[in-house]
Amino acid sequence: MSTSFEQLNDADLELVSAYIDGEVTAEERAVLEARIEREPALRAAFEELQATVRLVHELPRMIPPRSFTIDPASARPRWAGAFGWLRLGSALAAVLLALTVTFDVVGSGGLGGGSAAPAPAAVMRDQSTGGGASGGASAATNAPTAKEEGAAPESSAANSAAADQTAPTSAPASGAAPEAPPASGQNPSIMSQAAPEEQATETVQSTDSGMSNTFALRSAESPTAEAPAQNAPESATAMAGGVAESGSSSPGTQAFAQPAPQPIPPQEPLRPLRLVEFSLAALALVLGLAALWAARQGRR
Amino acid sequence: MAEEELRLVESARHGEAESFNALVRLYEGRVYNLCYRMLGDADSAADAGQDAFLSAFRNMRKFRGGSFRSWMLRIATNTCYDVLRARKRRPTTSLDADAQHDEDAPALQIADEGETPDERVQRRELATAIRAALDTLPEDQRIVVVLSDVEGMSYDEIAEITGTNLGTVKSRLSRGRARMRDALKAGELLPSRFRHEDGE
Repeated sequence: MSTSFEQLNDADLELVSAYIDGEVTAEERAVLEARIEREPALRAAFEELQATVRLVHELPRMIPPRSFTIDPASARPRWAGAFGWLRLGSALAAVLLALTVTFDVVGSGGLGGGSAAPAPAAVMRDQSTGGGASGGASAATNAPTAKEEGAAPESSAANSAAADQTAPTSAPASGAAPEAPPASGQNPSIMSQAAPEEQATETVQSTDSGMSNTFALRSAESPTAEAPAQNAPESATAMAGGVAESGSSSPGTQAFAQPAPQPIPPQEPLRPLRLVEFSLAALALVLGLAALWAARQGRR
Repeated sequence: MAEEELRLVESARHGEAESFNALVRLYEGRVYNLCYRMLGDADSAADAGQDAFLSAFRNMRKFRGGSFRSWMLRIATNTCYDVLRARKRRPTTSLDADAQHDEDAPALQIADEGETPDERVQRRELATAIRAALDTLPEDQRIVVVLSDVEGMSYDEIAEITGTNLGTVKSRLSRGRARMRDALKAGELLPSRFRHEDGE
């Protein structure tokens, strides 16, 4: 009896085990039953294994000591409880960010402290107020600029008025802002604006040059300045004609040929306070998104 | 019944706790018995069973159909493996573990109304002997023996629960049964009537 398993190989053991569970094919069953009839060791092994299976199967069923039903509130995922903390952290980071920004603004001298450099549009407007002839010559330049801005009606109006004085046909170019009201003469409000002194001086000095100089300068102008001229060829032609008739070159022509360099605001080094602001903003954003995600998961 | 279970499963997948609890009531006995036979004591089995249902509830959206029973028992099996792994990492000896096995556990068994006191004692001895024999099996063989010989499941379902193939199930089951038989015989663990029956 004790040697019955030892006389079986693994394949026979598997076959006998599967035979007890009825997990063999009809062919395997026929072969195995024939062998059990004529091989005592195999029969003994089969009987031992069958008795063991029966014993294990007779194990009593156990009654659970308690019910395993789920309370949905306690079954929430662990991270769902972090929603409150994430929300609180996000709110704190936002408050700290607001305080830091306030401190930064107040400490740097107020909101107007950083607006020392004139806006590019203001520079162009200042050039257009250099005189009647210059204003007329610069109309072709200023008109597309006003067209790009679209929000400076007084500039367009002034340019239109100046263009009317010297080159009436340049009016279509200034029609980029058709809603602009007609202006007579020069606009005092534009005149009162701070003009960049260097540009004004350079423009006046270049008025001695003639037509050839004008075209030479035009041929050397930057693509940015050339684009408006292409867009408004009538205006450019009229401008040139107007200048020839008046017998004097236009300071606006110089401005047209050499567009004023865009004022570059001075680069401030990244201050530690700005780093703190960026960090707090990122923290508030991340915590807020995490809280939102946790809340959505908790609702599922 | 199958249609009702499908309805409950579908409802539970949408987060309906009551539907899930109906499924819990259907399978808590089977899950608890599996955990009890794998872990060997009532407290660990109860905790593992609760954890298994909790895990199932949280992962109901991942259930892709098929047999809910197999899916549930697979979760219970993995939970038991986790407990056994934790025991290996932090081996502890409970002062009342043996007392719980021999005294508390039989009190939770379903009583047979017609059995005599002698038969009851003999049944308890047998249960203790089989539990001890099961404890000698490697975990991969023990789960297969429990699922097949205690729970009466088919090889296909066992393969699904354990994440193996039929050949592996057959192999592990035959080797586990052979070990069980050896263990029962080695320590004279079998009561006399079973030894007699065994020799027939």
